[in-house]
Amino acid sequence: MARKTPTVEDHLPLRPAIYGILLALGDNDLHGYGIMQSLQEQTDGRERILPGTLYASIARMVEDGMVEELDPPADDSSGGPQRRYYRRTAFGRALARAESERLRALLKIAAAQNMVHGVTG
Amino acid sequence: MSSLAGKLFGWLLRSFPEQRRGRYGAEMRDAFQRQTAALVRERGRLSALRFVMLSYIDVVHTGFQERARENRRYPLSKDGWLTGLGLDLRHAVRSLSNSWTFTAVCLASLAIGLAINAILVLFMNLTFDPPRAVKADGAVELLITTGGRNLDDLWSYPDFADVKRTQTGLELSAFVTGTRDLRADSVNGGGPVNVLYVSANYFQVLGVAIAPGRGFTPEEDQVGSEPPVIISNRFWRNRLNNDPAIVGRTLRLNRQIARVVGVAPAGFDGHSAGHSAEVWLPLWTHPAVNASSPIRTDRGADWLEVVGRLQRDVSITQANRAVQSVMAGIAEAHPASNKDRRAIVVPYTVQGGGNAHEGLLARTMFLGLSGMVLFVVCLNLTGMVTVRTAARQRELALRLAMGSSRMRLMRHLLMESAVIALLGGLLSSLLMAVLLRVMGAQVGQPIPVDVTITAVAVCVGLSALTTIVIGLSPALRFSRPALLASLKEDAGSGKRRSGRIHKIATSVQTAIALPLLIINGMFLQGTRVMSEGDYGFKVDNLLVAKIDLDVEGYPEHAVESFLRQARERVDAVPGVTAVTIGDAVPLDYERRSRRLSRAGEEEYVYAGATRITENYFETIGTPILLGRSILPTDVRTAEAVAVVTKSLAERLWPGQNALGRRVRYGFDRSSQTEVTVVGVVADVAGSSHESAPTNIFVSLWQQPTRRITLVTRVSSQSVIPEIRRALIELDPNMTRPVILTSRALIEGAKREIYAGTAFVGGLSVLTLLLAAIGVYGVVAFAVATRTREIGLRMAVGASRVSVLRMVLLDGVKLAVPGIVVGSLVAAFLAHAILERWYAYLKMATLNPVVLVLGASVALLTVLFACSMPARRAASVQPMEALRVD
Repeated sequence: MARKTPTVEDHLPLRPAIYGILLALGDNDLHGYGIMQSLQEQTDGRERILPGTLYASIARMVEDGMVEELDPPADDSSGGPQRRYYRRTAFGRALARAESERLRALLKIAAAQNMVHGVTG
Repeated sequence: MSSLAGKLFGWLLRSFPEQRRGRYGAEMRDAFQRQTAALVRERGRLSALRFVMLSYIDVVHTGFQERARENRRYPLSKDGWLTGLGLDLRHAVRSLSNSWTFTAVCLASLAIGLAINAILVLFMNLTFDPPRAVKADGAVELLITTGGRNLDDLWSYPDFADVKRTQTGLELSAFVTGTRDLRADSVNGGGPVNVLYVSANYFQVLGVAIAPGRGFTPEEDQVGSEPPVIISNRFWRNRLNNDPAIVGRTLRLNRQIARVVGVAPAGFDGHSAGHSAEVWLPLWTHPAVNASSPIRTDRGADWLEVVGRLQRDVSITQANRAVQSVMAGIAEAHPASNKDRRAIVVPYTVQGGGNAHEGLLARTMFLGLSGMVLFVVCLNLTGMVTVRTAARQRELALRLAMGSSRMRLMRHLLMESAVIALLGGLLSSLLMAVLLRVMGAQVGQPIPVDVTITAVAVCVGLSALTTIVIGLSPALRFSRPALLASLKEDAGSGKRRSGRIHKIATSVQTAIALPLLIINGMFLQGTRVMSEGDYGFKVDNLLVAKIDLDVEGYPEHAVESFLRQARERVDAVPGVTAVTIGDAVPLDYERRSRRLSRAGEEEYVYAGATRITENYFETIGTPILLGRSILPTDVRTAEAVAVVTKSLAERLWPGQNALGRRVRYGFDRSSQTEVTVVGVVADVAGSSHESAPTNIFVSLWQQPTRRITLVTRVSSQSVIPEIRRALIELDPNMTRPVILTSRALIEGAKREIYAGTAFVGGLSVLTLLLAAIGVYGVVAFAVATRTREIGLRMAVGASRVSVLRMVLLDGVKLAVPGIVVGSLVAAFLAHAILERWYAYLKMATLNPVVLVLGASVALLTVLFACSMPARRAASVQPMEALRVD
């Protein structure tokens, strides 16, 4: 029995770790540790992803086609083990977008109740 | 820090499935280390530490999640031992719950068997291990040998003092037991107290620390006005209400006021199994020492036991040599009392070295019993596991054929064993906890918690060991079944009948249970004989009161007048028909065995020696056969006389007239005297129902003693208070006398036998239960594997009854060899027991009724165990049975 290709809706809501990784990647090619750093920098350290969760999520995201794995660049000078780089796929981007929309709808309700600082409904 | 943290992270990565780990492991570790380093740099160590800890938890958590995902996707993956283990566990639980008969039988066997075992081990420890407060290492006992044999543990005071004074590499302490009456005016609960009179260094020698308070000081070994007393923790708790200010208070023990100087540690009630103490007093307060008797200077009077401690760097061999040379010196200086007397130093045991042989015997018996029970459990399990594995041969072959590895099969089989072991261990612990509670309630004291924990550990450990070892052999054997042969065979054809091993196992179990059952029956029958037995005196309406004149503090010159007055006063009580005084009565359970020989001869026999006064035989109701009884005229200045029982007369002078013959005997070594036999009485019981009727009676006036027994024949027991009042009127300071009936003494002994019977009985019932479980298991499986054969038989016309008979007959065939062997073993054991005990009353005889009864009970139990599978076999529907497979 052939398995049905999962649609964007099948993945929603996204798990926070996956959403975070998709956002942290942006349009860059990053390795695992780069993703950790990027997420931290962009949220001023408020969001953090731990190595176990990171790589378990990445493995699943590769399998589900949210990110694609790149060969390591020839000029990787960061030292340490050879790292794989990851790039967000179109499907990944669509997912991040759908999740953001979902969250925005929720945020709107919260804002109407004066729960979000600086934003009113 | 970061490299160590990284290493640990690397190790924790193992929680990930191998494939994932291989792919991402290095990167994960790298990211972890970089992030840690960055955090240390930018935010400080604390922040880094938080990250490290969270990462550890995270990596293990996600790792196992990944594994679980993997398993769901590839359930037969051979990757990783952990995955396999989880799978095996699920498999094992499933297959065990599918064959619940097997599981239930195994678990029941384990639970019952191991609980019995743990309790046996526990009791052995409680009985044979020295109290925890005692430093047993280096502690010794000093025993006496006479003429190179006859091990004894009693010393005379001068001998002890001489050895103690000499440098032998030992520090020595003497002790002797006694009882005192605790007067109610000093505490709320008066009454008798067990006393251990000891040398001042007793606690020091045993290494027992006293707290609160202190031990005895060396000065307290000397006679003083107010003796110090050390009390046991239990006594403090139970009788003195745990009084926190107890040290320094006084207790009134009979007429003596003693000051409490210390409390012994909890759980220490004396160092020796036979001498439990509630209070310890210095040796000089012993009543016999206080009296004018020369017990402190008499080398012939043996009354002390001696313990010691080896000094540093002294071996027991060296100590032995030193002690022996001292004793040899004493023997030379005092040949009259010490000729042939030698001493030996032996390691300290709770039983006391003098009883080392009996202690060893009891310990061996305990171990034997426990081993036997364990053996039965093993047999049950072996039988069950073998049958089951054989029955599953086809399934196993199929799995092999489908590509399962041998290792995998073995692991699966072993996992089943492990599950059973664990459950069995837990169940038995539970059962044991219940049993221990019950027993604790019986003893009146809860079993200590750490002891229970030990027992639980023993249960679970033994369970694991037996089960896994037993699981291993079939696992090895059957994990390589002849593939084709097994696949060709079909289930239920009856080709794989129960194997030889479990047939033998069932027989052996019956053979073990049966002797226990029969001996139990023997004991029970024995107690019946005890009530109805003829003891050679009139048991009913005989009253016995024990009075210790030493404890009462009577000076020597006042003893005779006290005795005469007591007799007169009691005689005057209405309802009293006869009164006499002796130092014992038959069946009072006080040892009085003495060596005696025909005058001028060396050869000796043992006989019970009792000091009596006039009117003794008339009062207890034993007829005089020849000559006369002891008379008031048999006083110290007259010729020493004795009366013997018919048995003793025949033993010493077979077929001859005993009257006028002379006998040599002594109550202690130095007072060997010759007496002339003036009378022969009918056989009468000795100190217990077990002792032989060879008794000698001498005149109390000629052989004085201060521990006397007042014997009264009454018309009705209602006069007991009157008699007590008469005695207290005579001496208001006297300890309230305990007056018992002879019947009560016998009943007391019977209760002890019942306790023993309950133990053997409980054990035999449980063993039989185990055997029944084993039989049930074997037969049930035999039926299951023969379903098809049975169906075939029924299809060709066999009736339900004939099938029923066939299965039951199979069960009987299993049991009969066991019953035959068991009966033989029982007969042998019974013979040995009868030989050893019960000399007087042939109370426990192996009568054929008991034997047949025991065998029938065993057979019925086996039949009952077979009846369930037999009924199942008889209800087999031929068509369905043939359709199997």
